[in-house]
Amino acid sequence: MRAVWRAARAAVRRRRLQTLVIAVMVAVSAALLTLAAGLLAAATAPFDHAFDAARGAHLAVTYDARRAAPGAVAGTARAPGVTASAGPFATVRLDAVAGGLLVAGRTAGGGVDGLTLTEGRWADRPGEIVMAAGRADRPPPFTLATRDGRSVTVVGAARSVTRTADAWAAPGVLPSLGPATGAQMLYRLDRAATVAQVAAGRAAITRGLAVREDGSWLTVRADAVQGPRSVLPFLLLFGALGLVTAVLIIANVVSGAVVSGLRHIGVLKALGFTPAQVTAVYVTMAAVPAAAGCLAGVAAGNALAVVLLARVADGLDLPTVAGTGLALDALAAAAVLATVVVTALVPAARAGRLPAHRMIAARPPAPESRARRAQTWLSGRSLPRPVTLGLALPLARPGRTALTVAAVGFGVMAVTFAAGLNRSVGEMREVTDPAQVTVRAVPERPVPGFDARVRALLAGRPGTERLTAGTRTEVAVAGAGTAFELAAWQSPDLATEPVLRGRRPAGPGEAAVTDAFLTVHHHRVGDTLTLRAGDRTAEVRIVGALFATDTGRLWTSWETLAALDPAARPDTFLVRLAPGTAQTDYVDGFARALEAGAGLDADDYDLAVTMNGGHPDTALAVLFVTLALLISAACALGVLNTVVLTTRERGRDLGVLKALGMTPPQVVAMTVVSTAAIGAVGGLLGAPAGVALHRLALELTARSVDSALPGTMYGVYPAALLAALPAAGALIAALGALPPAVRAGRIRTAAVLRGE
Amino acid sequence: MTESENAPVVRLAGVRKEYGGTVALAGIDLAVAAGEAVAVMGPSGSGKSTLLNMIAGLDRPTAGTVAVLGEELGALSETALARYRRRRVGMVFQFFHLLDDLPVLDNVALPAQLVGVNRRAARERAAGLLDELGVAGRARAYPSVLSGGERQRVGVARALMNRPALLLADEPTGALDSASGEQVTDLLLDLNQIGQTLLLVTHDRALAERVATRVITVTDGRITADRTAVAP
Repeated sequence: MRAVWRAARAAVRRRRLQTLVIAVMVAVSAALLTLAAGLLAAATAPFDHAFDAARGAHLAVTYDARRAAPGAVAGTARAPGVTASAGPFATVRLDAVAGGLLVAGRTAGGGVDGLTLTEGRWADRPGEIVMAAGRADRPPPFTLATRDGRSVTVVGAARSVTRTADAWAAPGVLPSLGPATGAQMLYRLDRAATVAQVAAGRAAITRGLAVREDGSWLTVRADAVQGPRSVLPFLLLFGALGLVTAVLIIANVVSGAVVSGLRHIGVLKALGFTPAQVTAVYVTMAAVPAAAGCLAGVAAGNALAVVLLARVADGLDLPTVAGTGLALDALAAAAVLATVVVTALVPAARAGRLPAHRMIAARPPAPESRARRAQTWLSGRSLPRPVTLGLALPLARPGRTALTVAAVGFGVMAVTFAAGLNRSVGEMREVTDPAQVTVRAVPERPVPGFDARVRALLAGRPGTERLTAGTRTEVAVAGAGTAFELAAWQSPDLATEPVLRGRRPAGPGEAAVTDAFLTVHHHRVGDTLTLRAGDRTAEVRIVGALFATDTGRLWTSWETLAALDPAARPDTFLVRLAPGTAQTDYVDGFARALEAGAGLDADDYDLAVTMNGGHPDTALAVLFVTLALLISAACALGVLNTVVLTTRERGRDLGVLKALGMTPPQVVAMTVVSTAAIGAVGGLLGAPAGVALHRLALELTARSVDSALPGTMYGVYPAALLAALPAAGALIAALGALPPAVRAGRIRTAAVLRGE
Repeated sequence: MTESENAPVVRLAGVRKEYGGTVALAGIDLAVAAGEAVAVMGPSGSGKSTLLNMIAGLDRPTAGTVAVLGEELGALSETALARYRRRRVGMVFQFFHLLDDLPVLDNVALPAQLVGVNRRAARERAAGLLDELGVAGRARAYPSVLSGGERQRVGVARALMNRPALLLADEPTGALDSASGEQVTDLLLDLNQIGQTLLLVTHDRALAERVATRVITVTDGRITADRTAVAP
């Protein structure tokens, strides 16, 4: 074993550049693999992972504090089926102007439904609360008015995986917010996979106790997976692409290192090393730098994953920060090292069986007839000789060239895919959120002309480009369900989602539904639906299918909605801002105008202003760009490695060419051209593959949301971009080839030829 | 006769070369006149090949100057040195160093194409040289199928492609059997007799005495003998 170790150590020292390349390549690939694996983990059942990580509550029950004895409530922790519990926590019902809030007396953390403070600080002074992340329309701190004229200060935001309350405060602070009306218990159950199991658990736990409200994790889960569904296929495919690229490049680098050492293997065998020892030397030689690179890469990938995936989780409103865990890191490291060992083992074992004299005499392989024919053909072209020599070089090593083409192809595929996804996600935001500001103003009591006054105020604001007013009401759809949101807008194109089929409702008796509604309820455009609100009904004909990722919405003309709900008045105003108008400035300006007394009495209405665009496109864009850069960097390094190997093998030829008068720039040109040619082929293959992958991602998305997608999400590759993408392959390859090419241009000719 | 015509083709003054702490050349002064055939002899490791590399511009001296046709090589950049090699020098190697990927004709034409001569003209000249050197029949063959003697003839043809003022040969018969060695020796002799300045490094005394007009002996990096060759 000692001889093996010494020989391996000597080989590592002798081939410093190659050792460094292996370490760096494996580090980059390991980082890529770790990030990709983290992405896959985050994109696969994100809620379930977050739920497990935060030990979410399968069941949250708030008991009536006045009617349920505290001892009995605490005793429910020992009820059959309960595996863990937290509480009781006193709760207060806070009547904020913007809506009622359930505030629980808790601190951050906790053994069940752990609370994570995402912004600000914990509420530990009288009159303070921490709101559930995503509920507030602005960052803390801010003041919230209550209906009884008091105010509470929101000092932070916290995330609860099971959304067991709307806000929290330290237990000692709770009395300052109001009298405790409830006692909340959080339970984890041994059987909670189905609605029936949770209901059975609830029945066993709450038997004989007065319950004010309760919530099942299944309801929260169903709601939580709705949003991310549309982007998860993107993340999954990107993660898979990263994994494949990382494995391919590691295989290329490590097997290349072994193959380039054939002569050394021959010498070892001549000295008496057995085939097994030779194999061990080469596996060790590759594994030592690979292990170092792997550790660094996994650590870097983990750090990247924590930052990037946390941003994505926030953007998607996933319940907790996603990242890679220790198990995933260990798995990624094991996968990298296994790939290194296997890809080293196969050629090393093969080399171990070859006769020593053949390997000692090993020279670059004799060119095949195909390569020679190409060389002859190229020499007849009216191109500079270094260029024609370079163009023919890849044919001398078809296997290595194929691997390099594949590596570059994957790089270009990643860039293409990322560019397309970024634009598609942007399109999705554009088509689903044409208005940047939503103002919802609901009068406490009928105020004549109220909506017209709000409208006039908004219309007069600087920055308002377009404005529409409308309202929503809840209706039942015969045969489909009872809780559909029916919306009607005065300018439907601004307010509603894009038309996938048919058209928008234009007059009485017409409706549009989501494409997903048609799929789920087996309807088609032209069918008639019966809508019911209270004791009023309306027959509507479906005239169009619109794009939305849910099934719970319908749209009609204002007249149809008014027929179902004669009291309906426009209470929601959508504002499209003029280009260059900052949302925050606009909203602040509007709030000040209201306070300055715009003819509206603040006591007469509830007001909520929402800035739209909280979509995850920025976080996703950062993620896509990072992944594409990482994959491209890995590919460029793979190319660098190939060129290092090739220039090493062809050192004699380079020396001869320099001795014959080839200048260093000509050597660089020849080497870069040879690799750029490979890159261009990789680009030509990778760009269409990236476009196809993008299409596949969109089709998976469409299937996931049960809806066709707007055509604008598909047509995101302008002709100029499509033409430029193959050039990206040549560019990646040329960048990867440049450092070793410059090095090749500087080789000491006399030393190389003397070595021969 | 003008001064420039009298100027030596090669002039080395105080040339010293060290590799780390090892002295390869310990102060060489040498002048080679146009039309001379100089053989450099000496034991292995004496510095013969290093001397040849200095003149070819493949290596740079630690101290001293190397001038070829009045051009001071130490002042040239790597690119300028490459251009110098193309135009002024032809090199013949012990192990031929032909490019395996190219047929014989393209191997020979390559130096001219690097200078920018078009393919047709380069190939015409290469074919003429191969004809002169008796290997025209192998023009389309690849180096791997040639005999040692044929490869070295091709190597000489390639070295002559750009009509160099100076032909440098490093052990030109060292890898050949005696019959092939004889052929190459005759070839070099013929070249010198038509005016080609020649500097060859060899262990082969017979080659040196037959081809060279002057024999220099290098020992431990110094010229220890410089004499007119004795005709065999």
